[in-house]
Amino acid sequence: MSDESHNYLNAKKGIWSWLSTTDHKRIGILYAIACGAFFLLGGILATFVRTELGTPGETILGQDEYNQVFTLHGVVMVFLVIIPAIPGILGNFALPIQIGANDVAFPRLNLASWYLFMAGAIMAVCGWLFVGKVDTGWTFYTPYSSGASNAVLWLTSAVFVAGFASIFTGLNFIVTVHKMRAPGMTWNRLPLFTWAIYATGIVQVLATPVIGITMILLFLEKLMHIGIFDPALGGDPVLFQHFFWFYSHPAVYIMILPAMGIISDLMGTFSRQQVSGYTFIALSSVAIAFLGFLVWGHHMFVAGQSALSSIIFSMLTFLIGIPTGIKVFNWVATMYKGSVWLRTPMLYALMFLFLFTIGGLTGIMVGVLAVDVHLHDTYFVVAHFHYVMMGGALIGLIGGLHYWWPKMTGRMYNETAGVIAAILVFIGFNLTFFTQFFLGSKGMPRRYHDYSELLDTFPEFAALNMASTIGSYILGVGLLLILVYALYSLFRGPKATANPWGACTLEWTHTGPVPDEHNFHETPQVTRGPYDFHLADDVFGPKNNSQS
Amino acid sequence: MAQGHHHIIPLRTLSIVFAILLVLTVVTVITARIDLGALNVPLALSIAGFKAILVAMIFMALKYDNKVNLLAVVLGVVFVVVFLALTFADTEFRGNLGITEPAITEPVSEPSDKEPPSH
Repeated sequence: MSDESHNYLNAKKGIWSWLSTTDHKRIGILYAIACGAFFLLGGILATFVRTELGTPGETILGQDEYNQVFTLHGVVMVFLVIIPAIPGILGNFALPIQIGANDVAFPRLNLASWYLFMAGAIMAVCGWLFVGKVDTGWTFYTPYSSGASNAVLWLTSAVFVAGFASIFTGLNFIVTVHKMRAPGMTWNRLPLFTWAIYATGIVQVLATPVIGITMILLFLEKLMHIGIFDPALGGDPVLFQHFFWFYSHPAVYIMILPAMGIISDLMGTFSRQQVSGYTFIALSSVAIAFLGFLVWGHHMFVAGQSALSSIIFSMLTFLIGIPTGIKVFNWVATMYKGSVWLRTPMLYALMFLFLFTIGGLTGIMVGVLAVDVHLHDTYFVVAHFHYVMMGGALIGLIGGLHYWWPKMTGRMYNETAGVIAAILVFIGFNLTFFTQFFLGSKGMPRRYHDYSELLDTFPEFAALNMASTIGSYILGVGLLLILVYALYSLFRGPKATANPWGACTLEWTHTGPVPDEHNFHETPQVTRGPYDFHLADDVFGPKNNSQS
Repeated sequence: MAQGHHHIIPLRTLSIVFAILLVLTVVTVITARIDLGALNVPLALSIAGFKAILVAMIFMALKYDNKVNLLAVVLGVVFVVVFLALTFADTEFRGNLGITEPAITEPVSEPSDKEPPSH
């Protein structure tokens, strides 16, 4: 029996013990604090954007401030929250324990990744505060970015530095999964969350250097006036978009694949059933990782890209729907005839299923060449990618945080508050973004701070924008409620048992309520799969659970 | 572990590869002076790619190393090729909509430069 009073949280004390830790679980907590703060910042900026658009005419932001605010919102949310959050927080916390390892393969590199991430984040924020405000949008498209102020170089440098954190994290997880699995933890016994983080690692290592190269080329052009992207210097602005999206489209899968892994684990655990099509789900993660590299040109259908390229990219885009569909159908099949337990993490899993499917299907719609001509740069696209990035990646993250919260903190959160927050998030999210599908399909352009002049033709824009803004406030309240009951749980929440969900993976079955500094007292001997619920009573029945 | 037995590459092999690299450099310079149209860039990249493979396989001893490392390098190369191929599918065909040019492209009123056909 493990000593409850001794765990990774209290093994060492003091701020320095956290800032110098090489324990993967503590590094996961460091990422959680950092990403949580940036999520709050990005969320506040989003509220400014929605407030400005809530009513026609200029309200709280002028046109320049509006451009600057949505740019920072995009940069913060993409590079400082969605990309690093799941691998950084939950990958770090859960993956080594899930495979029976006592840490990642390179613990110091893991800590270095967090410092690089923080360095990039601080550069971004300091650049914003002291160098200048960037208004290019998070994509930094040339020739706008090559002609803009030097502040854009600060921000791109920040992205460059944070990119290395992502590469190191991905590399660490790949090596960890290959080299540090416990005896008996074969590839077909890996939890699907681990499979997803592994596939994500491949994308991180292969794709992220390209954003670094792109930023260096932008530097060279801006500082040395070498014509690469700027037509005035003989460059090709569409080439920038090739470089940028060769990273940034796979980056969408860096965001969504880990969330898919979380959903697979939640579906199995809360349906009390073997995850349907385990092998197909696992390999579809790898398939998505590779196919994700072949579709970047679908962002450039109306950017002047050749017709031949557009046709090729459009066809390749449809292929992505196959492995994604495999996952969605298998998740639904997992619930079929299962004993579905509607606790808060499962609510988020169901929410993911609903929202991500809308996001994915509308992605196929804008992947059709003729349709994209009409919808490009409208609010339809804004709604689509928010359904994927927030409805998919962030909802998956929130579900995962609720799931692993008892293991991370040793405390339970208030289930009723969890359910209320989940309902608020669901209603708020759909009110915010579903209305934007209507706005976009009627032609409301994105990145406009005022739509007064469009109201003569489309008077419904006013009501739809107001509804979207009200939705964003409801969403904000839901998210703040999560923050409140999470903080309450940390200090006053009831103590959790070792396996409150009755899950089958090693982090639940082979550790105490809060894992030990070294995860396991003995190396686990794995003799079964990750969702082998027919052994439920033996593995995590009441007797076993009360031990902890 | 692969590092456990370091493979000694014979000096003769290294010399031959070095000579091939020099020859290929000369070929690169010569072909750069000839306009091959759409083949200019693919040819230059092919030569450079072949040289890079020689350096990685022989000078960096990847040929004798753990095959997983080879797989990692090959994957990297594959994605570079994918990136270049699909980017060139854009840059080389930009503006070409696949529509046959109209038969009459010049104003009808302008006199033709061609000699009248002799009968």
